Amino acid sequence: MQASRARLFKEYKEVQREKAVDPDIQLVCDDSNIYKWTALIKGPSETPYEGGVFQLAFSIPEQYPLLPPQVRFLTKIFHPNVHFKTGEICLDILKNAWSPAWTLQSVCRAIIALMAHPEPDSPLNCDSGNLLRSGDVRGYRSMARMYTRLAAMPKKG
Amino acid sequence: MDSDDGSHAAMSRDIGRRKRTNRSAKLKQCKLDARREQWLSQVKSKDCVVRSRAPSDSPPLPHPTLSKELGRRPKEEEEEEEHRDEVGLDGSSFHGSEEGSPTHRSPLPGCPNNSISSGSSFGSSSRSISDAEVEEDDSEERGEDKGEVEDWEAFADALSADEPNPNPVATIPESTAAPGNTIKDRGEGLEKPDAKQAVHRAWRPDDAFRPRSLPNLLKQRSFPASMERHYAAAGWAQHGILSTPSSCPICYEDLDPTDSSFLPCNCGFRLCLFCHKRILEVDGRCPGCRKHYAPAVGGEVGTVRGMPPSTLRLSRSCSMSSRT
Repeated sequence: MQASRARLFKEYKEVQREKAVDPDIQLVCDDSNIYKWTALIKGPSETPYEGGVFQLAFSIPEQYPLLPPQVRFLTKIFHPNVHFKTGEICLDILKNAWSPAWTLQSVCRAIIALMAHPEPDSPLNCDSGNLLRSGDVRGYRSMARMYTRLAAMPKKG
Repeated sequence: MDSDDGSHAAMSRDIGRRKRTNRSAKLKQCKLDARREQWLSQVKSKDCVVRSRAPSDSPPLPHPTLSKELGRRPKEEEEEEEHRDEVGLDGSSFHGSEEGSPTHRSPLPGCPNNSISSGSSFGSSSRSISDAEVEEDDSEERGEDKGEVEDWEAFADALSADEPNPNPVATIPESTAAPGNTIKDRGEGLEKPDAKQAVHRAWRPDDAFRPRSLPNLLKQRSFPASMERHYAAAGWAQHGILSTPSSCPICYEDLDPTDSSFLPCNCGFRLCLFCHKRILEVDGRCPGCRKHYAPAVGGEVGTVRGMPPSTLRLSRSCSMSSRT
């Protein structure tokens, strides 16, 4: 468990140093608990999530990096692989395909990639998954777009 | 011996450079080991019979690029070596890596020594002699198979250093003609004395006429055998992208020299020994490729460990040997 702390400190420094490198990701560590992190990611362009800012909550086990961090969306998102209510994410690298070589930063990148490329065949959000599987891309896009506007965009005025 | 003087200067120059280029030497080491690994596996597949010097004899090889590599190897390596001697930083760092790891030429158990190492031992043999001499050898070697003689000499050299051999230097070439002599007996394993060998003499370590440029065999034998395992394992780093990182990608701690030569997985993913151990305790999969660790590593270490110690010693002395 000491190892996980040391590693998280190193990751923290890395994040501070490379802030400018990836402007789509903002990783912040909880002030009092290094095992709790929050990330803000921008919705990838040319997707219904474009223009939205999504908040992720990281809960990191003491065996990290041997075990993956637990990540969920705090911001509502309409996506086949994200549970609509809990924000749970269905992503292989957060489960059995986890590798200790991944970092919190790279997990964020993977989540952005998942937003751009949904996997409707392993849905956590069945409504969204069914729309895509039935070929109604337009329906999926408009729903996702709507929820992005509602939940992930700063209110105007 | 003017060539001796030249070589001596070259060696001391190399030692200076070696320190500076320690890091790039490591990288080179990886590439070199990879090539060696490839090459060794070729030789093994041929039952250790076909000489590397005669690629035309070899049976059809499974992989076209590999066979090409095998074919071009002896000559090219020799040329490379020459080039290095004259020129660059690169060359000297290569030297450093070569001498740093005695494993390079360690043959597999049961293989006749020179069938494997004849080609690669050229490099080291030409190292400590002057350029002029290298060129001269060059032309000679095109014509006849001199590798045998050279290796034979290296072999005898090792033997004379090895055992309290009462025979003075001069008698060694003759003794190969006399049956019953220990040197002859062992030398036969390597096949061949030919007419040429009378010209070559093996030096005893305490011989007054022994050129200073010859490496000290006693010192070489003091290399710890455990080093062999690491370097053998390092042979897998074939992919350029997987060059040695400066810190462990798992714990982000700096890799010490032991860690950097530690390659637990065929995919070339490196990490520190500490993290490796922790991963083995948990799920045992390589962070790089997510395949399970154990079998590949065990097998690799096993073969090297199974080598008889005498083979190790001899192969090492062959690689370090010098021609007069």
